[in-house]
Amino acid sequence: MRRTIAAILAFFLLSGLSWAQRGRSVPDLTGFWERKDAAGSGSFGGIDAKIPKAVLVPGVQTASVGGPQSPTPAGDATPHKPGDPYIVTNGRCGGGMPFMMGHSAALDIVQTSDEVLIIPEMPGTRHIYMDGRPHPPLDVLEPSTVGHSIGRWEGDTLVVDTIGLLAGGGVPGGGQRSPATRLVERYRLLDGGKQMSITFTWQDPKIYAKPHTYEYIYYKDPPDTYALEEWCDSSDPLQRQSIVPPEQRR
Amino acid sequence: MKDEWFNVAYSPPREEGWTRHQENVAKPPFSERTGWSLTRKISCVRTPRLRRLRWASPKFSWRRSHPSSRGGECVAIKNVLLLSFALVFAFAVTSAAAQETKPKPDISGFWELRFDSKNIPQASLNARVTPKDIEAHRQKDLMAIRWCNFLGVPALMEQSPVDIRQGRIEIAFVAQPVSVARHVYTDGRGHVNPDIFDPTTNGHSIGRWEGDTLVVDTMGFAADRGITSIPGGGYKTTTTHLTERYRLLNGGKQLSVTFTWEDPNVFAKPHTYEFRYYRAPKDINARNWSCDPFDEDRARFLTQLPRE
Repeated sequence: MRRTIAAILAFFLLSGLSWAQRGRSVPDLTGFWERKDAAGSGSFGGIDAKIPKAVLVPGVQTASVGGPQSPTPAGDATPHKPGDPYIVTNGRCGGGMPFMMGHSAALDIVQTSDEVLIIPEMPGTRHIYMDGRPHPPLDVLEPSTVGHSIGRWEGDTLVVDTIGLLAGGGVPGGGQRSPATRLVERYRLLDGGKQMSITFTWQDPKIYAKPHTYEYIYYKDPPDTYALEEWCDSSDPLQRQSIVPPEQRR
Repeated sequence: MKDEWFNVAYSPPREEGWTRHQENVAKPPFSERTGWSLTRKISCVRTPRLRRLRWASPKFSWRRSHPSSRGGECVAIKNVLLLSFALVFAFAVTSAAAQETKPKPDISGFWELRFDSKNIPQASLNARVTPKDIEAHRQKDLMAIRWCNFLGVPALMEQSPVDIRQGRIEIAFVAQPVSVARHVYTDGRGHVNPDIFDPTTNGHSIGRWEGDTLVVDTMGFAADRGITSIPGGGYKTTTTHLTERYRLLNGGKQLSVTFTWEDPNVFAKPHTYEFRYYRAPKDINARNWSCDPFDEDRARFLTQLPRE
């Protein structure tokens, strides 16, 4: 009797496992993912400081980490002259690449067979087409804050290729981007799916002397996490602020 | 300033330097909380009930079936439990397999609105809603467009195309203008407690399937953000409730969505209208429309009367 029950159990267990495996040939990145500040400063200053400096083509100006609301790059060590005002926030809302991937708010990934969405808590959702389509030619592609992304699976790694980003700075480690700049991201689950690694590699022979690569680690949020809204109103005077550095005591 | 802003935006307030879910992580696991025990042992003792049963049926003997067992009653309990487990597991597997053979409709895709896509009757408004209220919302909406504010629902659903992606735990809606994406959670969760939910332009949406129809329930709208006017009349408030019913038509080439708005402060009776979206070609690429609130020519165009 025991053997019979054991056989029945084994049958159902194996059939259950095989059923569960079906349709899961690729990792499931679905869910909310957050960066954490391991250094505890709350500003990612500690972990962002470990990002290697980009090696740029001579003549290309370095631009440090910064977002659409931070025209003066955060972490910029350049001292401002006393009495010389500089803009802290210029009132422009919105996110886009690469700012949204390094932001402290959660990123929501919705994964389907044809398309993967990466949704921030601000405007600028990324559409990653998984249906095998190529990029449109650069001369017809309208540059945007998120560019045009196509993805493919290489084993357990999602490889995402992006072009068509608006020209500007803000690349972590210092660097620029143009519509022709190619960003290759490699998404990989770690620690049984509790963490996700994304390596970013920027390539552009007119900007980078060699490919510029760095890695972010994201942590999976609980299953009942819901999206918040990072409200921003450009008509709000608080969204436009400048600072006049005072004279320093010697 | 950024940190202060975050503390205002998030609810409930977070500890300094913590992400909003680190508090949850810091809680003890369920197994260590009062009232829970995952290690309770099933004792193999002779219970009076089983003894009576065995005594009442002398022809039946667990001990004869299992001469090496430690005790007939104990084996009986274990066997019954194992068999029950197997049956429950088998039921779960077969029902899941049955679900798989009858998949839910997939509304993923880019959906376009055309000239004949909208059927919007006039809303029946509450008598307390005055023309002045309606005009105030119209002016506010104009400013929301002028300043590139997030659109929010229902304006997001009036864009074309809307990219809808049906994932494992949620269905996402993405429009091209400046707006955060809309999340409809389909994993069986309920609404967030209104006491801790910060109202948003899209509200909080949960969805469930009723046969081939996706029913979406939304609450938690912000009354002062984005575009608040509702097609057909009326406007959103924090007490507004929206029910949507999504249904594929014409072999999946069209998507019917009926919107029903309820708010005792705004509507005299539920206000219902229907949109019929057309499926866009599969190879369409999403566009991300930029919006510059400091473009003075654009601002003049939006806020001044056209010249003759």
